[in-house]
Amino acid sequence: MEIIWYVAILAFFLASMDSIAGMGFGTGLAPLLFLLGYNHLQIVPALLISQTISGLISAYFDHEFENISFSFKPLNDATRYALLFALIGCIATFFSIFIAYFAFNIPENIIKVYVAFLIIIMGFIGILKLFMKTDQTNERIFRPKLLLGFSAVAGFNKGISGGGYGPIITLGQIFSGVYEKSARAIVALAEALVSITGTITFIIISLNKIEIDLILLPSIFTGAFFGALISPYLVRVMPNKLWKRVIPIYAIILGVITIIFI
Amino acid sequence: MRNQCNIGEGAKKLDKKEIRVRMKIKKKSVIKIFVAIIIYINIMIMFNIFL
Repeated sequence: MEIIWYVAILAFFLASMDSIAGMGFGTGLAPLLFLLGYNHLQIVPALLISQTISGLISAYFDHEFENISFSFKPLNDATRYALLFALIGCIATFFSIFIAYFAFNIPENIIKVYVAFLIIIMGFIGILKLFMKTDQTNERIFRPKLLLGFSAVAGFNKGISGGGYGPIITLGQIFSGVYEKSARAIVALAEALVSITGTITFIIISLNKIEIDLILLPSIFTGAFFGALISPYLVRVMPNKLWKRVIPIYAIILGVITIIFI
Repeated sequence: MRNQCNIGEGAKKLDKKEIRVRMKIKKKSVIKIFVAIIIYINIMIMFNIFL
């Protein structure tokens, strides 16, 4: 086993941003690793295993640092929504595998452009909302139905393209009235649970004599682990008005990167 | 349908406090960070054995 330090540093940066903004670990790291010459069977399992652990760590320390309050007994709203998003994500993952391996023949580039543009538009709406007042008291209006709508769109996108889940769930929550610091923590837990499903799927695939190479796992895991450990504290310390700006701007950057790599 | 979102109430309250207050964390949290790092070292030892 050896740690490839440039991979670990890339993973650290993107996992930190994923934990801070609720998006970008898979979307950003996978194309970079493809460019560095690694193949699909080296990248995807390492990303899934790392995201499972880093997501759980990020969610745990977000709870510890009071960015969010998760509770299973009794089940509170934050946990309920995280579980709902995870369920939608899991169904979408199975659906995307079904699409990838069976009959449907959808042009991949068109789907990726659609997902990237949706993320860019949502990012721009997020920035525009900074200049609009919600009401006179500046209180957020919570719209649970809108939140369910966004989670359905995110699940649909993940189902047809395998991506675009984190940005849409995060921005969807913010548009529905969830506090930015808490929205990204909910996504961290939901993505970790979805990645468990992805990891199990890869284990099943590996049982069918498809060789999986875990050479990148120690490097990606190291970067993702420390990124997920540091970010919740950073989110706690810095004011929410900073994250209000960072999240939509980062979403636009990710959307543009996605289009460039198509 | 509720119009007020109760998700992140603790974070909102904490955000109203000064940055110096937000920088302080409980001793228990520091111990948990060290426990997480010990878990990381153990996982890396397992990788070293199995990969």
